[in-house]
Amino acid sequence: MIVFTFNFDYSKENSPQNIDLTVPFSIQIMALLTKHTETTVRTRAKEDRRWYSLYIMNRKTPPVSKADLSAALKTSLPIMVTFVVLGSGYGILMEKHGYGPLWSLMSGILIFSGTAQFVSIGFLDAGSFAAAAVTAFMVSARHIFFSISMIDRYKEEGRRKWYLYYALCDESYAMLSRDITPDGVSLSNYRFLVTLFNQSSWVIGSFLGGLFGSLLEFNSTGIDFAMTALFTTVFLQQWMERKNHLPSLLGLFGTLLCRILFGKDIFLIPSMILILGILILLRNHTEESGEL
Amino acid sequence: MSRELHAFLIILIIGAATLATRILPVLVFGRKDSVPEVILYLGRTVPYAAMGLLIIYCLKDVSLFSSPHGIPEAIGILVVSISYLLKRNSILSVLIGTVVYMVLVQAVF
Repeated sequence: MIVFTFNFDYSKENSPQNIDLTVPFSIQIMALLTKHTETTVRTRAKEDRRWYSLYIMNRKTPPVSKADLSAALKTSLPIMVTFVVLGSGYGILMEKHGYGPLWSLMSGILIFSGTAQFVSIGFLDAGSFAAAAVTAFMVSARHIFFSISMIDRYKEEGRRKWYLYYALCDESYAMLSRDITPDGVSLSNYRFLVTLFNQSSWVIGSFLGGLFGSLLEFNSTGIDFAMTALFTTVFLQQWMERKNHLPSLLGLFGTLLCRILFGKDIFLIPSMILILGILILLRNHTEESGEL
Repeated sequence: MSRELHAFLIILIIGAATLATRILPVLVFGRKDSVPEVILYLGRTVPYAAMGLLIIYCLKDVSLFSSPHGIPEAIGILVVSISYLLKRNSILSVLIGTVVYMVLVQAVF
């Protein structure tokens, strides 16, 4: 029989102190599980240790269902449209520098970061390796921030999590850190599909851009505003769902302050240090005063 | 070194640096059975702070002191916010805001 021990951090109020950690794998329980969707089991597992161990023991990624696909597609659609356009812009630029669609495809898989890929073009012909590494690290450093906050979310993702982290771009992060999953949808499949759709549309866009080049070229100036718009809607949504606005305000004004103080090339790193520092300093205050 | 090899190595290096920023935090904090308390706390709060950071990051090239003084961005964000508060539909808001912004930067300013 499976004897299952685990560590799981509960919020203090809900922590069941004297609960038996070894749950027999009975037929009744199997029946119980089949009646519930993964989402329900997950929700209950957060409150009850027995449900949690059941969840872990029975956790198998279900096959991708229609509901998973349509939920992920709905979330990804605005990102996909923008990524195809922005990606084709990258492909066209690569082509102009003498690097065809296959180069764009390869870069989209090996790098997969819009900013880092645009920056990389300047280094391709004769740039120094060290400078390329340092620049890439600087422009990508915000991902450290994102990955840290996904550790708890992705810890049950098994092998899939390595793909989820590798392809965690700004937009996938904005969508998946919200913890909004439609009912009846497998969270794991949803995360995987959203990430995959976003990456594919970028890679396919850049390939097509390189392939058809200027044939595709229309005046897309300003299309990148779609990302600003997307982050703004997430910001508003987060604002309305929480009473404690401190983290939101800190992110907005802390970064603005650093942008003014440090200039547009290096402000992200001081911003992240500032935000992490203040969040940790205010930890007790934040935890006590609100839901956060 | 041939031009192709140089370009390939550059892509590889930039890819490795980018991957490092995504994976290193997980290798450092995510390997143990239990996630440290402070990481759990950051997991709950950072997504809120990160949206503000991303918005400013998107607007980093805007200059208030030279034309068009960030006016298209301000109008775009206003359109997105108002439409979102009215309709609560993010796809709609992103679409309207982007179209308004594109018209502004291509035809007006």
